[in-house]
Amino acid sequence: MKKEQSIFAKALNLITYKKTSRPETFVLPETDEKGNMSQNSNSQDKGKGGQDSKTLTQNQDKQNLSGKAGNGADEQRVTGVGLQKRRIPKKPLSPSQVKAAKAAADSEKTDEVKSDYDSNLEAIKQTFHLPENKDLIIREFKIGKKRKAFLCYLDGMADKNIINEYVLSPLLNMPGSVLPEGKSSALDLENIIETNDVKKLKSINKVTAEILKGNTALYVDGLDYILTCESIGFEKRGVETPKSEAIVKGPQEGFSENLRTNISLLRRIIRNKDLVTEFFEIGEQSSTTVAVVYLQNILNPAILNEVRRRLQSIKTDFLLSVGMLEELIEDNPYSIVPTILTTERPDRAAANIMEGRVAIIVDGSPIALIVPVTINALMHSSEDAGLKWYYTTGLRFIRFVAFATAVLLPGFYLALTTFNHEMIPTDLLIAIAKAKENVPFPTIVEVLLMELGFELIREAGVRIPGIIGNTLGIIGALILGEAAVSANIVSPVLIIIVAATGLSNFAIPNYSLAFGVRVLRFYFILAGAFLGFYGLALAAVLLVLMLVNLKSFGIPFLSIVAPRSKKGKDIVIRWPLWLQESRPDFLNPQDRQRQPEITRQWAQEDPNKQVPAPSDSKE
Amino acid sequence: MAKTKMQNLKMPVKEIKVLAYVLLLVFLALFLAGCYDAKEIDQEVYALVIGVDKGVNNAIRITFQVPTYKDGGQGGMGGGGGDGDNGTETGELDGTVVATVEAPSLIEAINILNATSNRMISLSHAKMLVFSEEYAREGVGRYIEPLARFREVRELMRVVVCRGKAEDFIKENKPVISQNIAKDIELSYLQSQNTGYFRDVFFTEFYIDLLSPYGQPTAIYAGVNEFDQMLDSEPGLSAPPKTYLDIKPGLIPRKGGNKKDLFGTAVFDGDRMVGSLNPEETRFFLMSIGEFERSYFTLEDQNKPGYIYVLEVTAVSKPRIKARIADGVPVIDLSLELDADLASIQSRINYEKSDLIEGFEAYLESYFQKGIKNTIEKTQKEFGTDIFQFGKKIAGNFRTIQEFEEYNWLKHYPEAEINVNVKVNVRRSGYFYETHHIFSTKLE
Repeated sequence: MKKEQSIFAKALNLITYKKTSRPETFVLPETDEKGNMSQNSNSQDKGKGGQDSKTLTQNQDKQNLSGKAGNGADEQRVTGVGLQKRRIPKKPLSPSQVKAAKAAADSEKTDEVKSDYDSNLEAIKQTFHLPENKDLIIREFKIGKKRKAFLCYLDGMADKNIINEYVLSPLLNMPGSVLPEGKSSALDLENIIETNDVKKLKSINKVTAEILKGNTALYVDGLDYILTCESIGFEKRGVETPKSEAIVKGPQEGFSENLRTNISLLRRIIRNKDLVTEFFEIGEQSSTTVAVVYLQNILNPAILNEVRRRLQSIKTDFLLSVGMLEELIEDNPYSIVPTILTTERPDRAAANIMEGRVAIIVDGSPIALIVPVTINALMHSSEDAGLKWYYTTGLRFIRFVAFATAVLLPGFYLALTTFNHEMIPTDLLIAIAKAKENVPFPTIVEVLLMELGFELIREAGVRIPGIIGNTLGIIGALILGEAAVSANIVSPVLIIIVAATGLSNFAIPNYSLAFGVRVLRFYFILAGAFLGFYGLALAAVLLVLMLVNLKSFGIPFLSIVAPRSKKGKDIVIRWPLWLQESRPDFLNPQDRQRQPEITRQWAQEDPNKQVPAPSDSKE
Repeated sequence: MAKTKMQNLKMPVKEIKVLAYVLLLVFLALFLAGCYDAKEIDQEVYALVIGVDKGVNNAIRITFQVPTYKDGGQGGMGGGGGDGDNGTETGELDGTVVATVEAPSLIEAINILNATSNRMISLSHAKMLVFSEEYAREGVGRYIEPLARFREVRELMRVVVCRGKAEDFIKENKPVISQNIAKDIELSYLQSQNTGYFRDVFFTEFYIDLLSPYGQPTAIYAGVNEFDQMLDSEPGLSAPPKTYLDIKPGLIPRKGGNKKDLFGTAVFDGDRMVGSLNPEETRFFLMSIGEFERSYFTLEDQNKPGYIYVLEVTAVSKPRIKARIADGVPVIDLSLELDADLASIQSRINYEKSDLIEGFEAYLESYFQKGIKNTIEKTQKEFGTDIFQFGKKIAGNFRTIQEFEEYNWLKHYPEAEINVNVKVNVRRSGYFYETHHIFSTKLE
């Protein structure tokens, strides 16, 4: 029956609504009381929402669907989709999986550390593909001129001074008489090695991982374990000022490539025992460390669980940068606007952690990912908290105007000039007509020419080396624009439009959002050019539909507006700090209250009260 | 087969293709529909002024004034030159072109001009609709309907009736202060608020009044001033101050500047012009319909003939109008409040002093009362048309609109009894409080 469907019916079937096979979306359970938090996050997995209305309805849907099963072919099909969601599709194993399985099988055989010098040395050599691999240094020596031992480390990853002074020298200087007799007798290595962190490991795989981090492995003949000593020391960039988020009033430190440094930067801002750092290894071949930093007593555990779930389930060979991770864990990778906030400022990351969000830092990237975020967070800048509240509010309004200009202005101009001439003031209309009189192209061609030209200058400016880049970009834009006008290729009004649009684009504080806006601009140009204001309205409706559909780790992207939630005091208008008493409502943090209702206690005190200097004896 | 496809998380390629085609078709349909009426700005020319005269070869003669798209800097050629030779063969005039065509209808006239002027004429920026007085007196209804129905026409267009030919009037419509004609026209209407010498009549208002049973339409009364009213002075002759401006547009004694005068109000009965109010009457008319904002009034000093004083009069609030029908006679009570600020007193009588001010106010009240009453009486007796829209208030005395329409207010308007009550407050006395005599050897 189904096969006889005409192509037209099939086409209709495609555009009519039907359950799509998108991954099940994560919904943040609503919690009002602290006690329900953990219970809810557990029940989430089972598919019973408790008091949570959203999860409940979703589940009801599912139940309804399965209840109807068998009522007809179509319904059966739909139910099939619903059920199949939970089923893991059977796919052929990818080459990497095959390899991994093989490696696992191999390692089972050789994983155990033998108590025999030669076989252990051979195992290490095999693991690191010696002698082809020149990076692994193996130093063989004899302790007290009697007992064979070797240590190995990766050249460049380990600090040779540490190895020389604190590992090698105590061992080599140990008199042979101290050594206990007998080949297999125990040796108290931990008390001989002078590095601060040592681990006794009995698995070659774990030893390999330690060596890869930059630690040194030490084996003494006769022992049944390998000792790893901390010796990490590689070249890294220091902490520098952030490049893309420079501000005037505020800290000037930015994240660097080193994960440990980044976490320490966060810890220095939030000195709290509840600040927890979890590590994940992502990338089968690269084993990149990814840190998840959060405040244990504030963050909603459901969000944490979702972050863990997504990070753990990623199967890829290689994770180069934070951008790749962003794409892998985003709710909707096809979305034009980003649903994850990226920042290279520790203070901004810390502020977000304090509100009940999670920071994800990838080793090797000077950028932290903040989840979950809503659209207004993308319009904030880290300077916002440092300025007086009404300066900030003014700046934010300018940013919103800039957003609207960057997205809409060229489309708006096109709609005006190709369809709705009556909306232009007569003087301006005559001026535009005069300017356009000698231009041979229709306005849409002019706009596209200029916009593409502008994008070209931007892209070229990035490639042109160093200091010349900026200058050449500006000069290029000026000369190109001027020449284009005098050659009657574009009208002068358009130069203003394109320049204002470009400028506005740079006023958007979020780098990824600015990119999204560049794409949206062309979308609105097409809409305005083909359908005028009607087109703009249609396009805007589509855009809003798309935005409403977005989620960032279970939080609707337009939270506060849709769905409505309690308005914070730091959304568009940044109210004075002493009014910002609660954390964002839509994040459902464990502790909503940031500060008591009266923050500036001094305002209620006796102004003549004598206060002694703060003393340590209080503790 | 279908089931295995569905199990796969990705959409099958074939279905994506079909979906893409369907979407493409939908968007193409939308886009092509849009392209159909897309017009570039420079494909069109925008008529700023439309003039209607009686035709000779055809029913009407339509004049359009459209701005040219030549460089603004070159337009000054005609500006400094002689006054008479503005009518060149192409009709070029200070950055605009004035073109006249005879046609059976206005829209047909646009068509003819489109064909001959190489660009589409758009009425979407029309700012002024000019009827010649001759044409207006015969009735404008036949040619105003298409303007109201035609969707290009902007409702903010003003309606002007000019003495003489509309074509000649439009030929004098050139910016003198700047080269910006559109701004010049728009600002000229604004003077209604500053002087009260004419009423700023929108096309929609005119059209609605034309069709309404409550009142009758008015239009701006205008004319071309040939600058021939400035008579040469004779030695030894001094004219007394004339404080009542009973002057028709085009006859103002003045020289220089723009030749067009917007001065007074054209009064219509239905679609036919029946007469005009002079600028003084127009101010009283504006006061009673609540459109008066401010103006200077020059009055002869009641205590010292031959001397004048000048007042800046502003309206305090909209007039309060009450209407009733008593014994079959419609009675209308109109009361309004004015502020008068002293701007100049030639006689140096200190009217602002507390012992004089009450009498002064009472005199002004009676002056404005008389003025408004005379104006209303003129419309009742001379024209018989209710341009004050009193019908809107009278209608409240009828239960249904049918009853009111049957009553035919416009016919009963001349019988109406109209009481006017004006309150004047003299509030500010300018920079002076009491002035002194001028001291000279010939002390009076």
